[in-house]
Amino acid sequence: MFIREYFQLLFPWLLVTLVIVSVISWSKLSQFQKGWQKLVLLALSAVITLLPVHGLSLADYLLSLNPNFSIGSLALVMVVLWPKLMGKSLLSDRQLFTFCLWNVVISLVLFSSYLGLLSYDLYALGYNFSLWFIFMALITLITVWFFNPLSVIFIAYIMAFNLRLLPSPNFFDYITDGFLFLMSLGLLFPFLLPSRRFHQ
Amino acid sequence: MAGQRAADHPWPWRLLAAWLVVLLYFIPGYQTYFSGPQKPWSDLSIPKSLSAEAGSERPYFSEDFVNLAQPGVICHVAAIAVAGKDRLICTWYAGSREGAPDVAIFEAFYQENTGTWTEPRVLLDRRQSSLELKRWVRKVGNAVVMNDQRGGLWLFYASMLGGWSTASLNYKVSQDQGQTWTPSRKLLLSPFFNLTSNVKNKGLSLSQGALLLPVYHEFLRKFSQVLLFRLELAGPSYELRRMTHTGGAIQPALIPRGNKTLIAFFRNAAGSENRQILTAVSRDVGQDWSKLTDTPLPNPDAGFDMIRTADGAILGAINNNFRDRSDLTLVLSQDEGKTWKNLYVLEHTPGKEYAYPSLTSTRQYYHLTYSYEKNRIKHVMFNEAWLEEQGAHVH
Repeated sequence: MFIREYFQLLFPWLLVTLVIVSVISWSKLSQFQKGWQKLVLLALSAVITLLPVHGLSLADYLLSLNPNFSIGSLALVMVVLWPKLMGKSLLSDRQLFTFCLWNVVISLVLFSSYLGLLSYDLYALGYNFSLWFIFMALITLITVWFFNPLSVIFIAYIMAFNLRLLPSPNFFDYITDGFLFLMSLGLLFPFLLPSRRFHQ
Repeated sequence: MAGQRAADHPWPWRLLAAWLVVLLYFIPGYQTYFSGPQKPWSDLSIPKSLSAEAGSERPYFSEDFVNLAQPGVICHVAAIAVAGKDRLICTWYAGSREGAPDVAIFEAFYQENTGTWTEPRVLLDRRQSSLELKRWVRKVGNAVVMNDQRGGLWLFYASMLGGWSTASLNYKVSQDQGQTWTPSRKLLLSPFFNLTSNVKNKGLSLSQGALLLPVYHEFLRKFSQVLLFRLELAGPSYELRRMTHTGGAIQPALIPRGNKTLIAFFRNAAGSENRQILTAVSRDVGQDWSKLTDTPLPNPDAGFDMIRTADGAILGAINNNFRDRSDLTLVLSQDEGKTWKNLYVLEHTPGKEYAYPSLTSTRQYYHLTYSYEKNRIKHVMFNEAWLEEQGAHVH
């Protein structure tokens, strides 16, 4: 319970850091090349995220809008933030495209089922071991066998679920959430432009 | 490219990584099937519930109000439950209008032997809810109070950031019959921004301290779900199952039949004319449900409640017409909901509204609360002898 309370603050912190880094990079104020600059930035974003104003912090407000940011959301924000901070990509364009496509497809199927647009109750399979877990295990095995970097994210899903790091008891909530769906959809759009090429 | 990448890594490493994945997925499998903290849903059963005893007492019927009407204040969604020996708790929400930010959840206690209600007091408002949840709460709404098998009293309530379709559920527990409550905890019941879950009728307490709470959803489609809530040493755990897929069947009332079977009766929010109360059956304590069928009872898209009586009949409090909520009637079925007879008309004033009844029973009496013209909560109390007397008059 204790770890869970703090773990769920990780996503808001990374998201705020990403917003700050993006704004500063866009305004060309700094490039964050020195280590101390990065540390100051992370500390500053932590203060902005966690400092309560009138009883609630920015993290609390973000968690009010989406109370369960999935491991997928955490991974995607890390993937987008990492090159901006460290100057090196964690995933190639093709891998990012694949990850976003996976997020959008799995979200569309899950949300359609949950919101009553499909008659099958897929979400119910996420509480206890089911065929869905076997499906995910097979996908994870394939990515692991080919040493695809996405395998790290797929392993993180099940590790976090086993450790119960998120407030939700459902495995699907470790894989996706509404925010991840929207963010992945947004990141997929540039790939649809004819001028866009995949960079390895 | 993938093949080339794989070839860069010797196969023992790949094998090791693959075994790690198998091991990680083995853990939830092992917990589910062999030594998990949770017993399977099918191991749960429905204990025989407390219901008013049939005795040689004289028929008893009384009516009173839980609170006083105040100008500009609406009261709605009353719920009643046992809170100690001969004592009951009633909760409802009140404010300037439905879904207004000033809406608060109120509570009052009733002592059966003196026949008096305590002064209503605020149990929870949006500020307190926000403080307890550490989340932004714009409004609070429907609340339902119920008992578990271990003497605990549970309050499930909706909080919202916008309209009703943004409702999500929270709970509080009292171990001293409603004197003090634990801070609110949020339930995560939807993968899509936790939208949208609401409550109307109380649930059932099951064996092993578990609870079964009927929940309804009204974001894109209207349907019902059932929440299995278990108390574990490591904290509460819960899982949700869909009860219905189509038909706008919401706000189910759960009636136990035996120790595994449940009958659910649903408000009909399908939008068609001449709607009837819908029903479905589960034979595995709520895990799977049959298709919906119509009952002969009309439903003007309004909430109702039902309860099993001491002699095994089903007693309901419903708006007994197809149009509006201007009447409230007690109905009774002796054949598990197939046929019904009207027992007693509690209210009938055209143009007025009598809505959202809640039923419970103690050892001696049945208690009914409902919103009376939306400005007060009315309380009706009767015993088994009175019910039998009404039944004898109906042919």
